[in-house]
Amino acid sequence: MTAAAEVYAPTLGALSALTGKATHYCAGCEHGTLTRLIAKAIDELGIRERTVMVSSVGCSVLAHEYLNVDAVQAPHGRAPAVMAGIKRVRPDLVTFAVQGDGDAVSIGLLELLNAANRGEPITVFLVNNAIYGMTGGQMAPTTPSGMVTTTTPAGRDPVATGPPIDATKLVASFERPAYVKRVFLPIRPTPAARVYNARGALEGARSVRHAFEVQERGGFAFVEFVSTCSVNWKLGILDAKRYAAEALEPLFPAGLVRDRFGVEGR
Amino acid sequence: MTPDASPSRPRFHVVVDAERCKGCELCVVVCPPRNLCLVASFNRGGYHPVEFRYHGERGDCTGCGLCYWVCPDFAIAEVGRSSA
Repeated sequence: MTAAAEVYAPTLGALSALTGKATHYCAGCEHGTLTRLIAKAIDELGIRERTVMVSSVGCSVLAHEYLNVDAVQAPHGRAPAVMAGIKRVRPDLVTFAVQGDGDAVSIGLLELLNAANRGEPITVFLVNNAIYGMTGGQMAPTTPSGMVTTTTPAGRDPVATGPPIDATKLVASFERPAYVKRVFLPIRPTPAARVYNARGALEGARSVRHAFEVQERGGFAFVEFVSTCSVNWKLGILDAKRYAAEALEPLFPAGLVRDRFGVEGR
Repeated sequence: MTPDASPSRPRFHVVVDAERCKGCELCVVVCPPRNLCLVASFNRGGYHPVEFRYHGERGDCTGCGLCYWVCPDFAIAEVGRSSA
């Protein structure tokens, strides 16, 4: 057999929806992972030229610098309202927001729930890391009971502050949303295999793509990504992944809640 | 079947952009054959970046791309295959 020249081809590589700028996210943060998943979905669907990102307030506020799409900065929590306006004026555009749990579940809950109730054809990605990450680790509505934060030094007291809010359940309580899903995004420790399980990122990639497809078909798409915040949880990066699997996953179980257009089966 | 039995067996590569890497080790712990590891030197950001080697602790790179999907800093720039 003659030695043929080696043919090299990338199977996964550069994305046109990424600007290439270095991110400001802390090491190991799921925000960065999600940014690439969104860029990948935009590239695959070929919608980059007509995508508008609505920046929320929180760690995702600078995500428009990393994604090579048009962007609008919304006031704190008001991203769903801005997206609804964009879609009503220009229904041909695709619009999405990456909101944190402080942005979407605390100050912006009204906008999120009303947009869901009206069934606006928009896509909301909620990054739920159970804490206010950017402002220094204060208690968020999604903080698990007993978790120590800078504003609950003795642990969150459910008597005084109520139990954590389940945003996916709230959105799914309305009739109109077409796609509601929760994904456990961090890598997951697997004691038997000595290797961490990255299924969350692969599941996330599919979910982001489906959420855009649902919007193109005129439905409200909501995907919650359970994430970590190792810096403000005051844990190591891999310890934070373990904590997310132990403490957040039972509270926010991953799964598809609603898929009205049947995009998952295709 | 020996590991390098066929000359047409594809060989996979992971291209690391060491300057982007923040050394979070997510790719190191998700890689099934352990083909990625942190190096002792520092990059411009002051982190120990990851380095790819084809022969890992538990086998060769299979091009699964898990490192690409989990990397939060787009430092796993490319996963590719070369075949003769």
